[in-house]
Amino acid sequence: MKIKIFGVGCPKCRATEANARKAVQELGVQAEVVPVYDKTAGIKRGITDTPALLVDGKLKVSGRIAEVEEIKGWIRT
Amino acid sequence: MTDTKTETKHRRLNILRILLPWGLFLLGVLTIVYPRFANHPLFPVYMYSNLRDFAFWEVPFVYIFSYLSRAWGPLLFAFILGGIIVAFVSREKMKRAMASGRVSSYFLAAALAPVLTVCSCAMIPIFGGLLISGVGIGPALTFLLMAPAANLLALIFTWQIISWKIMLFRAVFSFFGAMAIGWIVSRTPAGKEKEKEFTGIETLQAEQGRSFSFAEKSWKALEEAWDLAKKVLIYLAAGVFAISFVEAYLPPTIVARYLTGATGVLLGAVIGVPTYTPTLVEVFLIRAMLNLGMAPAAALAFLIGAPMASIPSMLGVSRIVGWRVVYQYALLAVVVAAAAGLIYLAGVKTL
Repeated sequence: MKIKIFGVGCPKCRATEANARKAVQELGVQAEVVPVYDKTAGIKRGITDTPALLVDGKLKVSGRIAEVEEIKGWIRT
Repeated sequence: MTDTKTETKHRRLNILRILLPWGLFLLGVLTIVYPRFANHPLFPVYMYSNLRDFAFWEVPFVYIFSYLSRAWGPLLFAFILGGIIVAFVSREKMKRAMASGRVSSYFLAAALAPVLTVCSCAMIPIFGGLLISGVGIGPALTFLLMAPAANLLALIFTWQIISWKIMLFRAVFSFFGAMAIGWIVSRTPAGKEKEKEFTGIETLQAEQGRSFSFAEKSWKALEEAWDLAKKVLIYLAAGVFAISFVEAYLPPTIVARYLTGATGVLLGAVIGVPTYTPTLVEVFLIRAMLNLGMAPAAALAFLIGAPMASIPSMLGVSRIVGWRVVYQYALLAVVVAAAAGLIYLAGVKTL
């Protein structure tokens, strides 16, 4: 499972990354958290609002910090 | 029994979540509005008579203290307003409105930019989103130029510590300038080429999130306001620290020679566009220059040019749309800033 976080490195993106890592750790699943802090990479992928969190290529949230509980929910399904 | 206890706890929490942010907001509004009626500020302020009366190492602290006493109210108001906008405005709805094509996308891009980019970090992604949404490179550039130029915090402060006339000119010229520049660049060969490159990319849609209550949003507004304040105040403090020395020691004769009249306007525009200033710092810098004798018209040119572009932002945007587009809009920004300044020079002249 791959969790990608697109952003520009601002506090919101880092908070999302921290939440994602915490969710993965608390659930104990095998998942890779990959932050992509390159403004231009997201645009060509169709991401228009940051921070954006994707689980296995599916966009789950964009424009706000994802909460740990939310991320856990997405990992579980 | 237990249910009503948790209910009461929730209700009390919700009351706090609503009272605190909106209460602070009202306090900020009050500090701005009260002096208009009472002819004196709501809370005591400190103003130095001559900055050079102080020792070299005292200068920045006196300067910052003076500004703090005068500006904490507007700062409070501006940050909470920013937080309220981030928490209550649905970016999705705004973006859909911009892409819908019903009202002119140029107009919407310029009108919504100040509301969409309270947090400047989302500027580039939203710009990218506009590029691929199908409205074209024109409205996307309009948004990109308007967002920092009409930044709400900056406009509030331009009004509060400079003058409402300068603020009005800044807002109006940024608005129409951003639209004009976006439209012109979209007509150039470089612009058209980049536009083609970006059409056809699918926007990723996030799944439906949950909706938040008024109390939750109000509390989020406070959290966002605090985040914004933390970000802005650090750079602002550093900026004002440096500016204190400018105001204390830059000879007014130099300012009078180069920063007045039409020369001043042109220099303001040409220097402003590449110059990078963190949010709000340009307002304080210009206030200091005005105190030293800079012409208001030249100040206006700088206040329009500086936010529209800057070397760092141009570097970032060039990676998306290439340097030709960037040069074009930078040059046009200089023209718009100079035009605004010259018109102000001819028509209004004073603060």
